[in-house]
Parts: sequence; C-alpha cells; structure tokens
Amino acid sequence: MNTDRISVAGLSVVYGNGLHAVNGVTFSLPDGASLGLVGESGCGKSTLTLALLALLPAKARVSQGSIVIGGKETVGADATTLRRMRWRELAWVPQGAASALSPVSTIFSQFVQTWQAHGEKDLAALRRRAEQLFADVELPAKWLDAYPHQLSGGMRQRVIIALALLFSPKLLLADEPTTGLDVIVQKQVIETLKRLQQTHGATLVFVSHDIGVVADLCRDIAVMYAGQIVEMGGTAQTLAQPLHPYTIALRQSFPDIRHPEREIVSIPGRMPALTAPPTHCSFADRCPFARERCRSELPRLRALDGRQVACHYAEEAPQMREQVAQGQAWAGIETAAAAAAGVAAGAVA
Amino acid sequence: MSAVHTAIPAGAAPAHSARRPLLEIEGVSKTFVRRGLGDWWKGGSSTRALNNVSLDLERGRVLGIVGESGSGKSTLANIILGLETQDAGSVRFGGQEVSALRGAQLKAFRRSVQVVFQDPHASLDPRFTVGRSIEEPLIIHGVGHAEQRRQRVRQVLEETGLAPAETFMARYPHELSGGQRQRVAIARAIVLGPSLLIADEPVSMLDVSVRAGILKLLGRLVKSHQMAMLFITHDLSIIRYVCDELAILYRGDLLERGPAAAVMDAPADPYTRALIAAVPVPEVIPTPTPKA
Repeated sequence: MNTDRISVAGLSVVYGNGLHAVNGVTFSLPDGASLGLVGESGCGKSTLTLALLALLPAKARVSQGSIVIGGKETVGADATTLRRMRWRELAWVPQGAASALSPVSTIFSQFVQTWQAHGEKDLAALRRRAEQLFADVELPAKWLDAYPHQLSGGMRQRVIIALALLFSPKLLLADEPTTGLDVIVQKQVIETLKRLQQTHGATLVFVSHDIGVVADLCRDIAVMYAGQIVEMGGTAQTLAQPLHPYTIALRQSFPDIRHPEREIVSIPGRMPALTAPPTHCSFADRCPFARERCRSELPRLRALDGRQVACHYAEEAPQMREQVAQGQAWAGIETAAAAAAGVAAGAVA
Repeated sequence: MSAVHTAIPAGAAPAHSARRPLLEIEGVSKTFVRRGLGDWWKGGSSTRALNNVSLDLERGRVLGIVGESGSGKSTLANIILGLETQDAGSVRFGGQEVSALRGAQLKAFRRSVQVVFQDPHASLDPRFTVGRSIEEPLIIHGVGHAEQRRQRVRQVLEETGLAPAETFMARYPHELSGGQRQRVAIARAIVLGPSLLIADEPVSMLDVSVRAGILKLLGRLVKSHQMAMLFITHDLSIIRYVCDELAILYRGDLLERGPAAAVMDAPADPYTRALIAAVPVPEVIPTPTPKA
C-alpha cells in the first residue's frame, strides 16, 4: 500500500553519450509536502525533473529505478497513460516564463488549447476557471485577453503558474520558476506559490540553485551533487546544521544579507565528469575532510539526526562546520587539489 | 618594474587635478523614444531611462549601482562607455566630456575603460583560445610586439588566478568552468591596464559556490591597480563583499547614495528597504504565530 504522492526509488538516468546524469536517487513525498531540490549547474537536477515528468529527451533513458506518482508507475508507461496523468496528476512550471508562452496567441487562447487537448469543451466553464485561477495568482482577469509581450516577467510567471493549476494537479514540479526575476518580483511569486500550496493542497517539488528561495518556500530540502542526493531533511535543520561537507560549503558560500561580517567561501575544483556511475564519494576530490575511505567506498544515504546524509564521516559535521565557518577548511585543499588533479580539474573554480 | 611594464603602460593617465574624481556624472537624463510600425502616426512612446542622475567615482573605489530590470543601470553604463549619448547633463572621465571625445582621445578613453559582462559563455569567442581572447585588446590597441604581448597575457592570467598560465593560454572557453571563464573575461578586461572597470552583474550567472572567489578577485584587482570600479548588480546580498559605496536606482531616478554599510544598515528610502527585505536568506525564518 503506497500512500505517497510521489515515490522515487533508485532512479538513474543515462544519456546516449555515456553521461550518468542521475545516479540512484531515492525519495518520497506525502500529499501536501514541499521539497526543494537544490544543486549547482550540472548536478543533474534538471535531468531528474525531466525524468519525473517523463519528458526526458530521446537521447536519455532511465537505466534503473522507478517513479510512482499517485500510485502509478511512470517509468516505461505508455503515452496514453502519461497523457491522462499530465496536468491532472502532475503539472510543470517551467523555467523562463518568457519562452514558455506562445507569443502569437492571447493568454486565454493558450488556456483554451490546454483545455481542449485534455478533452474539455465547455469554454464558458473554462473562462470561469481561468478567471478564478488569475484571481488566485493575483492577476486582473483582463490580462487573460492580452498577449504575453504585454506582461512583465513576473506577471508572465504568474500566468504559467495559473495555467499549470488548470486541472488542479496533485503534484506540481517547478523548475527554477523565479530565476531571472528581480528580487521583489521573486518574493511576490514565492508568496503566491506558498499560498497556492496551502489553498490547493498540491505537493510541490521546487527545483532551484538558490537555497535562500528554498528556505522561504519548502519544508524539506534535498541537496544534489554529481547526480546524487547527498543530503535530505527538514529545511530549517538542514540549513542551520548541515551534515554533508558539500552542504556545509554551499551554505557558507551563500551570502547572508543580515550577516555581512561572515566570510563567504568558494569551493575550489569542479564537479567530476559523470562518465561512469560513481564508485566512491563524488565530492572527495574537493572535500577538505576526505580520507582514504571516501576515495574507495561509495557513501549511501543513511539516517542521521532525523535526516539523511551520504557521507562516511557525517558524525563529525559539527567540527567540519566550525572549520568551514572560520574560512580555514579550504586553504590547504586549493593547492592540494591542483597538484593532485592537475589543471584539468581546475586549480581554481 | 619589468620591461613589459614599461612597454605597456597603464591606460592613458587622466591629465587632470588629482583632487577631482576620475568619473563625474552630473545631472544625466536619457529618454528613449520608441517608434514602432504602429506608433509612427501617434508620435511613438517614450521611456525615461535616467532622470537627473549625478554620481562620482574615484580611483581605488568601488561604486555599486543597484536596481531592478528597467531601473536604468545598463543605460547608465552605456552612457559612461560612450555607447549612448545622454539627452542632458555631463559625463566626464579624467576631466574630459565623454560624448565629445573623438579620434585618438576616444581610442585612449576606450583603452582606459573596460567592461566585464554578465555571461562569460557569451562574452568569449568560442573559436579563440584563452590566450588569443586576452591578447585581442592588445592587438587592437597596437601594444607591444608578439612576445611582449604573450608575456603580458601570461602575467594577467596568473594575476586572475589561472595558473599555470601556459596551460590556460592554449585552452578554449568550452574546456573551462563558468568561474574560470569569468576569470578569463576579467583578465581580458585588465590586460590594457584600465583605470575604470565596469562590471555588469559579473557573478549572477555563476554558481554560488564560485562567486566568492570572483568577488574577492575583483576587489583585490581594484586595490592593487588603483582602478575605479562600477559594480552593477541587482543582488544586494553581495554588495558588502565588494562595494565601498552604493547607489540605488529606481525607474531612472537615483533614490539613495552613500557608503555601502550605511545604506545597507539604515536605508533612507522605502524602496531600498523593500529591496533589502526581499533578498532571500539561507535560513528558515520562523513565521510569527498569528495573534488569536
């Protein structure tokens, strides 16, 4: 008996060119949950999102694992099953609201297209529904008859959110929906999403590179690195006391406007090329706390302090946090990494 | 110092009193008139991009220009660079009116003012090696002979943290990470020894884990070369790490200006306060329990 809204188990995605973009991702979310999926460019978060949407490009395939949404397996599901699920079981708020809307038709006619594509015919009912959704995202109904170019970026992003909610999806996947927006507009869009999540009760997976936005919006957070989830747990606790060295460093590289006296760090080196499934810790080359075991044995996600972490030495996190906060942790590794991996690994990031 | 240094002097030294700021912007206004196909009969619509903006900047100092999209910060940069001409007011660099520069003076000005753009993927020619990209400004300005130029390229590569320089020179942009590419763009911007650097959102396209390194590099270069830097950004959270002073632009108006710490700690304008309040922080703020 599976009561989770979404349940992902051991999911791996491989591209035709041999890139192992997602490696053994496992998580599940109950109804009404909100998960922030954070990571830097190339960590596999976009590929994971596409896999969850069953929208992977032709050159990529799920090599292992399963995705169960609303009790139905979507890996290997046929097109008809997926089409019936889309927009009702799961909907997508894509990045870049400017390009997600057609510039040549009015916003309402894009609602009509979606409505009809899902077999609905009653346009009067759609009009009422669209006006209600516009009210939900705080847009005046008159903009339904406008063209996308007449709207600002923040307004367009609200249109995309309203459109995604057309069939009251139970699971909403938002891929960097606020990237590129000004901070004040970003704040408004986040507040809108927060409110909608409460009123519509949808489960939210929010993909972002910005841990600040996730802190504001999501109850839980999953940190991705090199195609794996390296740490997952309650957002408040994870950001206050991160357990994985990568999360610790990421947290410390994020400027905090309230604490300008705090040192911000750069993580030297770069993510490894994902040409093979990992056999040891992917962060070891950049980690100042790495030891022999980190370079020989793959750390699996394990429970610790009510969270999950994939680090052999996560019990030592308090000392690691201390060292990183003092800005000392990476002093040695910068030259060590350069010497060990040569210029190819990037002496400086 | 070295022979290279004498061969390649720092950018044209402004021949004006040392007491005057390097860059003086006084009462600058700019309105764009848009005349689309459908607008011609009604005279077009106009957008006021800058309204009576005055600022100045000295060598060795970093002025942060903060504003949202449409605030006029890019227009201001373009006017300083002489790429747009203001409708009113004056922009003086080293005591000379920028819009009046012609010929050799204009070329000297272009050598003294360099830009670091937002997107290092787009600002570097993908077919040029790193060495060639950085050498390009030296070639354009006819600086030194081939071996002197290569030596200067090596020098700026090392200065921007891309060591060993010899290895990086031969590589192409696609072989580098985003942070490394931005370092190349910075190396290219400083290779002519400019006195003013305009950095237009130089870290906003980079992963957060490499931003600190780029900010520190820019700060260090400003101090060691006694350059002035105009740092354009919409991200207030990084201001303190690089800017001495701060100017807040909103729809073409200069709302507030002052020492960075003072503006951030005690913003005078309500808009600045809203801007600061909207910046995400990497921590969950407990929601206050609503009163029963």
